[in-house]
Amino acid sequence: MIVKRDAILFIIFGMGILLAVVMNILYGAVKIPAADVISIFKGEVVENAAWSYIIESRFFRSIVAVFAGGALSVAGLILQVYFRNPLAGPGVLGITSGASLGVAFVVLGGASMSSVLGLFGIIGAGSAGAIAVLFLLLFISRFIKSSVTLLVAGLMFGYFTAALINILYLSASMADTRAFVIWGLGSFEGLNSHELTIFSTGIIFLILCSFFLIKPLNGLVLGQDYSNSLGIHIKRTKFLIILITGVLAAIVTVYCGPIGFIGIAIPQLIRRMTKSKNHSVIIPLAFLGGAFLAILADIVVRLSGNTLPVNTVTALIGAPIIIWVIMNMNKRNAEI
Amino acid sequence: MLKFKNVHIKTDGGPLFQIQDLELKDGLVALMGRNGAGKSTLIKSILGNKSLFEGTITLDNKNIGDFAAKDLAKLISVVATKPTLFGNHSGREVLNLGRLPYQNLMAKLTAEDKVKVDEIIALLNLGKFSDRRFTDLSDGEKQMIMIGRAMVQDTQLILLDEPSAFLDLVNRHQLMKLMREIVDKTGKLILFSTHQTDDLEKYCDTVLLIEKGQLLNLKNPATFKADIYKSFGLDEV
Repeated sequence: MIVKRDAILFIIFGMGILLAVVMNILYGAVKIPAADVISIFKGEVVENAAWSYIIESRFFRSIVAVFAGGALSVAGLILQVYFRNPLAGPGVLGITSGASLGVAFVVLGGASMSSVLGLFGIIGAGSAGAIAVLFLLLFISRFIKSSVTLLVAGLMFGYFTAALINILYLSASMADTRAFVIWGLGSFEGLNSHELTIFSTGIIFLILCSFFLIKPLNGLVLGQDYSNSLGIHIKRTKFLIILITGVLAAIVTVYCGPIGFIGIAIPQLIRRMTKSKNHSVIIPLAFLGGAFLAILADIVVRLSGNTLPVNTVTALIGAPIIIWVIMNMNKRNAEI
Repeated sequence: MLKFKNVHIKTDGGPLFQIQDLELKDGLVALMGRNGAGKSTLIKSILGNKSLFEGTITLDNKNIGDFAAKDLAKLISVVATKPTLFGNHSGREVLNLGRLPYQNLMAKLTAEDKVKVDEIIALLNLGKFSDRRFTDLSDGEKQMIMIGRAMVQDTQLILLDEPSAFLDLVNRHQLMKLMREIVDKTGKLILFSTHQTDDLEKYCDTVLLIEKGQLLNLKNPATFKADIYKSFGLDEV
């Protein structure tokens, strides 16, 4: 049963996301009357034909923001519990960088994201890069017990992949370089219905798979030895964690660029805010929390006339909040 | 219940000691030995780590290595030297984790699970601090909660790896008293490793002593301390 405080969080995030999506669709440089927006969703013909495209684009980017934010937050939550470190997340551990390197290989090599073959190549390369970094991290975690040292190793992977990407720039054309730099700023816009289907289906599937991690994550708060004695199959769990977090981070990075901050800050907030210690409650709340922040960030991006990159906004909104929350809650909490 | 036949305990560094023939049914059993003798390795072997032993270890007449993790979790529970928790759980919420082997995919805590946790809180007198945040508890209280969690797991065998290593004299005695009470009230088998010889005669039924490549089975409580000192070649103080 969900306790009252967690139920309130579900309602706040759910309503917040809904309101933000509606706002994101209604407001923008082109003002479209609400009645016409409803007509467009009903499939009716409206006065200005261009409005349909505008509404579709606003709706799509809202959905992308919701899924991207949710996916990064859930990936971060799983990694924080597995590595038992509140600073873990796909960005900090170098997983996003691994995905970026995979994307760089393909994009700087001349493939286009708009072609189906190029898109699948980019998804595959991004996932391979993300999972390769996770495997490397898990391999060295056998020799490094300190999770802080492991985070430093993750940061080093990030620098290393950035250096490799710089080398790739040298042989890339101006157009490919420009495409990659723009991609790197992060954005939730530009997906067509076909891409949106792949993006959202992939994320929904992986989030559903993450429900197989509920029991392992509940046990892992006591450490791997304890969770093993509680009946958790550690090797299987490790495999699932690599696969789910690696591909979640990769899908989002491939489509939206390397989005920072959400994957580390939201899981930390949610773990502190929820009353329940059961990940059957924490995972969905982490998804909704991440989705809420992402859609808020996208609204700010659009209010700025699309001049601000998403990454800048997520950091501007979130970093001060998190510092404030940590300072306040650490007065009575141990580090969690 | 727990049987060893021609067991050789080993690590990557080579063999540690052997157990010819040993059967443990119930009671409070202390495991002693010098640093590096292989106490923790024996505990890991009992948990089914096949790379750490040769020979036959059986639990309820089934080879220990043949159990799936989820089945073994209903037969053996473990308490580590120092509990570490990642989260802001209360003592009760840590106790709840003991029900994990019995829960479904969504890890739903049933009414039965709650009754079991309440029973253990009452049995071990944990109510004074079970609703406080686990990380705020003293080392002794944390260890009591972890033993409670093992009890909530409802296994016949409980293994404890140096549970009193970080405890002061008072907490150590409370811990020994608690383990004795559990054995007397429930008939479980509790096997714990330790370096302390003072409490053994008062509380333990058996002492297993690792020395000179063998596992000695000391059965006379009155001479536990003398036998241990003699085996180590020490003059008793």
